[in-house]
Amino acid sequence: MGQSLVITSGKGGVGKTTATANIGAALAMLNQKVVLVDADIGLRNLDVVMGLENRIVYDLVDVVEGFCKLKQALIKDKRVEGLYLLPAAQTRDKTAVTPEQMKNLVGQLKEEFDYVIVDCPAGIEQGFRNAVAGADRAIVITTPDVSSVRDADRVIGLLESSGFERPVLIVNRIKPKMVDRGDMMDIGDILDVLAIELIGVVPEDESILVSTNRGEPAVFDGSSRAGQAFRNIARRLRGEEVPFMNLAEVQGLWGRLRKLVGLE
Amino acid sequence: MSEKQDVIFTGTKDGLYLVLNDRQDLKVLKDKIKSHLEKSEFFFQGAQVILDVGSMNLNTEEILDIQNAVFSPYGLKIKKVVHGSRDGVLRRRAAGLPPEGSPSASGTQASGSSRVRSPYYVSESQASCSEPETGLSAERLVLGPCVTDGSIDTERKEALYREVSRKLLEGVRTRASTSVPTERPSSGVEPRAERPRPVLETLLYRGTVRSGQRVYHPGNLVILGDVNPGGVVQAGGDIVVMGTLRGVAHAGAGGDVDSAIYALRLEPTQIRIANVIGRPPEGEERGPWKGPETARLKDGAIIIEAMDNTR
Ligand SMILES: Nc1ncnc2c1ncn2[C@@H]1O[C@H](COP(=O)(O)OP(=O)(O)O)[C@@H](O)[C@H]1O
Ligand SMILES: [Mg+2]
Repeated sequence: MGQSLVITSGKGGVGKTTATANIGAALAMLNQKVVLVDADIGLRNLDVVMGLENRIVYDLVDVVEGFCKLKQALIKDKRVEGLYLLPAAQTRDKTAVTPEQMKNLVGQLKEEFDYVIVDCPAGIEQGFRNAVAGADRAIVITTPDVSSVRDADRVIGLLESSGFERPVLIVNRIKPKMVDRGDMMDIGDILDVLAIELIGVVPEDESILVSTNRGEPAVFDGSSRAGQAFRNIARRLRGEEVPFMNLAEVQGLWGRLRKLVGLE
Repeated sequence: MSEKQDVIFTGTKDGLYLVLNDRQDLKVLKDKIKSHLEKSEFFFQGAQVILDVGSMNLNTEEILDIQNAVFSPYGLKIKKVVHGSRDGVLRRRAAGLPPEGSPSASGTQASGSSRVRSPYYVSESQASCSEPETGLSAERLVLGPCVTDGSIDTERKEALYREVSRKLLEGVRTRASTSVPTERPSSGVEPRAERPRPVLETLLYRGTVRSGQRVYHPGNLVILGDVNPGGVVQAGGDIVVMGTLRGVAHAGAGGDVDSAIYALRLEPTQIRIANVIGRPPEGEERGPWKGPETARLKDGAIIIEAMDNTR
């Protein structure tokens, strides 16, 4: 029996889909059997980011409505063993699926896979409720700006009130130089507000753009720094202790520690 | 106030199980089924339907009419008509069980109030297709899960799949005359006889079909605009795109293997004709525009030809 994760943020465009694709691929590279579920019905993206769009025959809604078997809708990624995608429908909307049905579906997938990773749509309405319905754990992702952190806070509140005990946090698109200059919220500031466990920091990285356009997750590219960050996150999810990547990213943490021990 | 749902769709491993509200007017029911099928992107070809009409009594004509007007355009076939108990089906569905009376539930037949009368067979079941154990592999997806030609046995079908997908991957975007050898498979497959094609109504659609939009028409379909990635156009007959086809086009959605797709510029995400699925070869650079092209089935494979090369 595997576990299910939902990757969510409240705000759109902060990197949920990017994180889903990369963490999923990285877990598969660690020999885990992984299925990525695109819960963004009507605005699907994950298939494009994964470069699998042209292989879609059936989708999540077809499965839920009983038009095909679950296995028929799963698309196997050829680049790494054990990685699968369950695409969303594009010509339907969120109301085509209920939270109950999603829970059922994710439950079925957990029997076959080590990790079921659900890419959540933006917002806090039905799409969000569908996406979190079957999840055991939640990963909240934010960028280092005030509005994104505000939305992340809102989502953490909703997650906690629907029974998620310890959501974990990814901070995406950190630009060390801007943090240095004090032009960007640092990790410490963000953690002060959100007060949940940090599981990864992903730098702003052009290679993400390139990889998105090519349909190849950055974790496949050994030289991508963002790819490295996502590989580290995958290992932390596996329970490994992995040090954070570099000082620029942790400096915020240092500040926070110093505050905690009364040095500031 | 909770209005009784008039049509309930349940998927079983043998096909669709439809429960109709037996107190509703047949015409209303037909429209509801139609609109549901229309909304769905399901690739129906060859799927079977078990129609649960409750206490309604339908005569053969009415059933044939439902078959022809509602299911045929989607390639669905009524396998049998049963008289089940609606509540029983709902209860079973809630418990995750297949409906009683559906073949997958046989063996549990004896219990309960549902009675299965002698079924009306509209068509015999098709040779069932073998499905891959885990997700569809690339090779399989190129061709779709099932061929309709019952005369081909499974092994032969597999071989054909492989052969055809190889050709497809190599031959897409090269002219038919050079890319597809003319040799016939040595056994099993009869050359297709020339058949008169039915005259279909044609729908003219003005505008671009954008991501998330889907245009469906049971007859022929002409798009006066582009079809963008994420957009779907689907027709029972031919499809003509007077623009660039970048999304998914499905001609002959009801199973007509003679259907074709025409586009001024053909750069599709995926092409489907009847129940054959094709996609452009991976990682191949698109050359300069060579003019209008057409996609059709030849020996079970989708081939792309320059428009001036055809007919
Ligand atoms: N670490 C990063 N560096 C650079 N660009 C990024 C990074 N993470 C995400 N992006 C870009 O941000 C955009 C939105 O990302 P996406 O994953 O689609 O967000 P969401 O799913 O939350 O809406 C995409 O264009 C993506 O390429
Ligand atoms: Mg997204």
